[in-house]
Amino acid sequence: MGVEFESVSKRFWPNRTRALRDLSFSLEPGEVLGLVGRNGAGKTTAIRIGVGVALPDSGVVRVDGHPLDREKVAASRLLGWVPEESVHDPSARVEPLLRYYAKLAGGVLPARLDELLAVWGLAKYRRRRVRSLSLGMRRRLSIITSELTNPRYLLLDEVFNGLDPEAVVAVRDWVRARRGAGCGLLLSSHNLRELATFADRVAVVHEGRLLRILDRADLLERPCRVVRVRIPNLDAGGAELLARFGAVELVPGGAVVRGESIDVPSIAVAIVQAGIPLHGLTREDDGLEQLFLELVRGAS
Amino acid sequence: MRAFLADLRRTVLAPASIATLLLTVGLVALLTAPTGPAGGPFGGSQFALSYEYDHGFVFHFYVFNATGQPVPGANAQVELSSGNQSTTPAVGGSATAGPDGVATVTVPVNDSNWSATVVLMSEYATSTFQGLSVSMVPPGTVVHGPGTFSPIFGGRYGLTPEILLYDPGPGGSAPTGSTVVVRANFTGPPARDSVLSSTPVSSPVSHYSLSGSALPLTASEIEFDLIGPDGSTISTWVAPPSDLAVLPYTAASWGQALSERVTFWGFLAPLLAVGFGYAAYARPRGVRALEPILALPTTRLAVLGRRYLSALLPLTAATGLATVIEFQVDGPDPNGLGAVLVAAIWGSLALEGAAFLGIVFLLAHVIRSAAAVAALTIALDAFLAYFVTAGIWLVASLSGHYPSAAAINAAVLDNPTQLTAATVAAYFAGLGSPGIPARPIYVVGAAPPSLPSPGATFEIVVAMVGILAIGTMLLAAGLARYRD
Repeated sequence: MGVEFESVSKRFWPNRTRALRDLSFSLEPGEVLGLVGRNGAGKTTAIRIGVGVALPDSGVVRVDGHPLDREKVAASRLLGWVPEESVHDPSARVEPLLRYYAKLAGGVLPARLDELLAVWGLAKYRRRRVRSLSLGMRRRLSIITSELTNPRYLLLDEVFNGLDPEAVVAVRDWVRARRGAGCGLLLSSHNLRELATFADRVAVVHEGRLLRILDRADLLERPCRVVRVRIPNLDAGGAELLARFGAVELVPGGAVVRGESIDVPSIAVAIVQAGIPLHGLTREDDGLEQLFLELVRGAS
Repeated sequence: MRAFLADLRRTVLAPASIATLLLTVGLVALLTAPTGPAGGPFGGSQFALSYEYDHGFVFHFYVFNATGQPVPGANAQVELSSGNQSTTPAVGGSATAGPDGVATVTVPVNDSNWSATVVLMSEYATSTFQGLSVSMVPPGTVVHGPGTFSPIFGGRYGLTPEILLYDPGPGGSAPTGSTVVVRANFTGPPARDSVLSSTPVSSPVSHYSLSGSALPLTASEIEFDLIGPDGSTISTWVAPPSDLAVLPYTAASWGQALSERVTFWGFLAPLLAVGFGYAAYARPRGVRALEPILALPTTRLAVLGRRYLSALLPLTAATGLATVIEFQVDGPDPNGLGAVLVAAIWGSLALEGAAFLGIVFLLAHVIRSAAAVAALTIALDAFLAYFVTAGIWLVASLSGHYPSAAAINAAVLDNPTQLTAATVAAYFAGLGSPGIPARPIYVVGAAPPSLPSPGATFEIVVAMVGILAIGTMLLAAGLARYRD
């Protein structure tokens, strides 16, 4: 079960750039699998191959056991795709385009289409041409397209890019709802902090290869290296207290403490016991970012 | 089926398709509209020329348009210049063609050798011959000038079998009392022949209908005999049988009008393919609009096939409509082969369109810009239309057949339809050198003599359409692996 990438490789013609090299991982139902990597690492190519838009040179993608190359129709019924860029005909109008997709998808009830248009706020834009829609609206159109077959797996490529805060919230809620409904989501993103809040696992790809798959334990057990302490009018005594936990840099409104493995709760206890008014304590480093950088730099 | 209809609807309603259809309608309207004596902007005018000397040079122009109709009102001019222009000034004259398309220009001079420039101006075309040497000849002698037509027989086929005689007499070269006998010989089985008409010639331009025979005219040899008043044969011309009624271009111009129009449509069909192919595939691919479709529960080949057919269908309909309007405008062929002829022309145009559609699809896989795909395909169409004469020999020779130069020249192979036709004909004929006999290949159905009937030719056309369509789709599907 799930979406399985088995030794997928891809070169781009005509300069034979190697986009993917023996990429293997799987997306399970009901999980959010993050896909991270530098620009050009192969995330988008992997997703395009995963939904059948691009073809691998070797290897295979199976969706609940259906090989995408030989049982494309059965596999695609289980898949939804939200591309990073708008790939809809810019001159097409929203509703006719969706009805066209619906026919190709094997028929979608008009009521379902109306419901999707209403849920994603495109009902009043149904006669508008795609080219006149904002980036966020086009992303919503892609999301509706991906939902036409009510798929069991969604492959989302940089789905949060370029969205306004309201849209980010809407997409975040949608991702959570789909996961709650048992849908597996492959979510590529450069926003590692956003990803860290969702992902059950994170696949790190570099130059077309899978470096490592991180699970929640990897993400949570990372030692803290940077803490921001908000203490108005921090005096020398306070700074001396913080120095017990690492190197202290005084900044307006408080200090930043850096160390190899900072015990954040202990800092809080020490400050409170010293009677210093503590206005905030924030872990500033990002475990996923750190881990990602270490992996990628190590691989380079 | 629903998916195909959805694709068809999107393709036909795309702006590029609508523009293409409007272009087709406009061109058909221009071609068929009786907009002037030359029969429309594409009609053009041509003329046969003869001259005689009788106290001056007398030039006879026989002016007709592409469909063989006389062009009254055309202006004919002659200017004579001598070898020594410093002492002998140029002289000239002009005349206007009458209802029968004959313009007679008399230039009174009393000495012998001149160089003539003759100019014909009809409403839409000007034809010029320069440096024609003319000299005094005994009165009554007729000298035939340059031109593409027989001194005796000109003609047209169209879809109403008819022969035009230029320059018999009186006033022409045949003596008063001459007769034209038109005979059809059908080699059978069973062999039969019939005399279609025996008519005294009475004017420089005469029409003779070929209808009225029970024989299949287009599979028969048609013989024309000009018999003098003493019963002797002055001239004979034999048109060989053709299962699609396309007769030689040399000598009289049977079939020429047909050829010109087929050539034109042969050039136009690829343009239609560019328009529909652009709408169905090149542009959607250029703007990546096919990607969300590929992610839906459908296969790559199905998407490609539906798009190909959704472009081929309107293309076939448009060429069919145009063909029917264009070639049936003079009325149906009385011997019943008109429909076959029209169908064969339609089939050949559809074949050519299908091939060019395949080219558009293939190029779209390699080149992302739809505009570049369209430009390259149009350039290829133009290249093939104008430079293919050499290519036909090359292609045929690669398959072991060597059409003679005369065959190529006589056939005036100048568009891809005819290239395909000639190659197919050479292949099926199995002819070695000298290869394709000097007979016309104006239309794709100009089958070799070994093919027994128009039906066989038509089947070949249909088969070729299918083979090419399937071949191009498979090729395109294969190439698709190299992109994305």
